[in-house]
Amino acid sequence: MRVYSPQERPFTEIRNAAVAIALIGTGQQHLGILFKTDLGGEVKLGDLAWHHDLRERNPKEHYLWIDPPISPIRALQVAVRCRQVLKANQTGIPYGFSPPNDCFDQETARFLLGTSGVGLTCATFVLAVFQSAGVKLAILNTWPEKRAGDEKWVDSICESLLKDGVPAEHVEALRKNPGARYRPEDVAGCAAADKVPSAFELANTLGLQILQKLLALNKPLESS
Amino acid sequence: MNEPLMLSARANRPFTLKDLWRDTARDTTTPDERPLNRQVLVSAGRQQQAGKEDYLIVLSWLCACIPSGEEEAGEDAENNLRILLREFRTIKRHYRPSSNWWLIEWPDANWQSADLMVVPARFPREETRSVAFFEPIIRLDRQGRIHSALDLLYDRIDHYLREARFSDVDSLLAHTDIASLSTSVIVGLLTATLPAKSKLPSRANLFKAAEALIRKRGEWEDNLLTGLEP
Repeated sequence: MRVYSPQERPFTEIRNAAVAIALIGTGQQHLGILFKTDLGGEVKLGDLAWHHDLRERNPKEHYLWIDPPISPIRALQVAVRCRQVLKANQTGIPYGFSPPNDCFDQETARFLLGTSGVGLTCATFVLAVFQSAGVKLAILNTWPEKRAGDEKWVDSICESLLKDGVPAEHVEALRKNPGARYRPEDVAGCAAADKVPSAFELANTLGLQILQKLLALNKPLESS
Repeated sequence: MNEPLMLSARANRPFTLKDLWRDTARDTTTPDERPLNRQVLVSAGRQQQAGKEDYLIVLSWLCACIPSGEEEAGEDAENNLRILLREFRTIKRHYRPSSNWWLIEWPDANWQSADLMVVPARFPREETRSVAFFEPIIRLDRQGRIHSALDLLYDRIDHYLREARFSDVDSLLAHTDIASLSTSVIVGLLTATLPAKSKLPSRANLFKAAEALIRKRGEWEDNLLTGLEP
């Protein structure tokens, strides 16, 4: 698997763009996109940290990074699209469980709040940015509608959103139609596969291996 | 007037003679950094650009609305650029079709910069538009700043898609000499235009030409263009 800690291979070795995953608490992972810039090969992390909290920041050492199985030239386009999406959505993107396809406006790169567009998670944000650069990481319709633990997770997310003052209507919309859950480790598993797009079974298997590596490092972040 | 001339206007600083490029495809260096205003321009025209009266008419008109060196752009920078483009369009309307030159513009997204060109009529219009579009992108790429080059490419394409100027973008795709572009920029062009592919009939030919050219260059990799198909 092409999964590295920054101690094994520093972030500066990414081939223009990569997927990054970290533990942020017991049973909770976080996902983002690492991308290079022209500024001395500087590497930034673009991630949806929470409701309307889209960030561009320096990646912390706790992240593992996954080198996706795409040409560096295509990874370059992912990096550009990621910067565009960050720039176009400076007020953030709502947190939610919308499917990660066609969720950025074709012409402005802004997040679309269409009939089914409620918001994204950190993991579907990564899928959506790659897809907007023409790179499909996952075969979406192979994901199971519901897995053990999903319901509890949805409840805990909804409670946290309400606690943070997110409007009840938004949270209610999330509860009504959570859909399939693309977990951070699943999406990391897609990027670790030998080719993309990846079906659920393989992505999940690789994702669990990545999770084991993360747990072995045992360095959860204080916050996302 | 013999060659196309370009004024590269940036919203965040006054314009200087350095912003003028003569024959943009080859020579991008002009040592003079004096602030660009009507007086400096006419003086430069007399000394260096003798015989380019048409060009002086256009740019003198434009310079009447450009902030001089003393008038820093500041908070009005974006507005200055809008005024400049409005005047540019007025000139276009006023002189067409009797003039022996024509004007093209490539304003960027967010109104931070624009490339304006005065082109003799004998130059092929669409091909020259393409040159004007890609000139700063190629320059950045050759300077080793591929991320900045692609940021600019995506911004420009998005600007035109946002204004629903699909025929302009399609014309660009049809008339671009992709041999002058690096493989990264060619793939960038296909990626930036991907969302609007159904409205860009020339993109299919560009895709075929791109694949053939990249193979010829020996830069082909499996799945290089997967997901970008017409």
